[in-house]
Amino acid sequence: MNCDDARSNLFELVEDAGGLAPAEREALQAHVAGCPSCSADVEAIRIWRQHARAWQDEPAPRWNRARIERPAWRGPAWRGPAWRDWRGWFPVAASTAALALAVIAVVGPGPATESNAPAPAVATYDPELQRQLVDAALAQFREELDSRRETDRSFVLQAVLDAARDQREEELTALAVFLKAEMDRRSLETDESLRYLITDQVRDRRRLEDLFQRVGTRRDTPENRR
Amino acid sequence: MLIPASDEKLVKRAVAGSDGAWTALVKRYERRIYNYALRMVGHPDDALDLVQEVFLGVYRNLASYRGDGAFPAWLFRIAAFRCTDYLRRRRNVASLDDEEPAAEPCTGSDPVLAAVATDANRRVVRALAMLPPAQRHVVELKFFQSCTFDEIGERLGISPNTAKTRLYSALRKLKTCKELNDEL
Repeated sequence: MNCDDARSNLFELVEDAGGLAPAEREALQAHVAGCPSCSADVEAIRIWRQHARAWQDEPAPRWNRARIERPAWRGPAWRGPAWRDWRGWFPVAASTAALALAVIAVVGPGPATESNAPAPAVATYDPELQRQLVDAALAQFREELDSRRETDRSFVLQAVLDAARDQREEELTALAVFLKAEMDRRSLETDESLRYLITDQVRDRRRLEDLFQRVGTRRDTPENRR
Repeated sequence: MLIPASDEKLVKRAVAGSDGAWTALVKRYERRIYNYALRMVGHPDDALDLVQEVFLGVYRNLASYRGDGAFPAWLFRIAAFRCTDYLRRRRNVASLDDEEPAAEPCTGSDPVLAAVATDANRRVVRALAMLPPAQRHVVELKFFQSCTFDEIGERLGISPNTAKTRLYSALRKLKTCKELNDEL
């Protein structure tokens, strides 16, 4: 087992949660016991696990949640269906009804009859005229309601378009930042890899020189000469 | 006893316009996000700013959360992105300063961390501050969020092997932090 293989399982060894087969565990323990580097890693893992356990969550300081503004996708505060909002249509309906009643009161008697009979002292009720007035008022009300609906529809459409555009912009910004971070990371990792390679080679060369020296020393001993 | 609403339900209600559901979501996660940010940036005030930035980002993108993964994972991805962005901005500002500060020591008292409640937490924050952001992320995910190397790779967009290499490099660097190692 080499250090790379061992490092894949050092956490399992420290956690001791039964993730390793007994034979694998024994082999790993034997490697760690004889390898100062892996043994130091095991010790570091143990220390950091204890630090993580000792961490006590700090209470989050109070902050003004109202600072978060209403996002575009939610549009204006939701008030339910438009027809339920009586503040919108009631004034129009009430004024139309009042106008209709006033017209009835003034024009109520209707045109003079063709006969020469004197006009009646009390205004007569003309159902036909009243019907026409009410129809006119209703038509006006419908027209107004339609125009309001149209306004609401265009408003909703605008809000949806705005939200989509904002989201797209945010996504593009996020992508740009991510790409930048990725490029930074790669250059960092290349540096680290190069450093590692060079260090490794220097170490190997030293080992080789050491080995040559030891072999040379052994060859020069009096026993060997004989 | 009342069973708390699931994250997915709260998200749906928040998207439908319920301010109460949104507040419940924030209250559920703000402490975890704050502690995560504190470990990542090492400064209580900056951590609080980050909490606000994270939740602002979440609020704006809540409608795009499709519910195909766990909400906390999605939330912490946004938090990780904001922290990385913050650390990069801080590095850029530091590089503009005339006098570049030396590598941060992990010992001694730090007035900035006076607001941090326990000594143990202060030691951890100081030790993590010694690491470059990429390694700090891996240590955070491995030890404080108990992620596997595969999960770390997935979260950070790197291979599990790179995650492993970064973690062991970080551990070696942290060995130099005497205060941290003497304490236990």
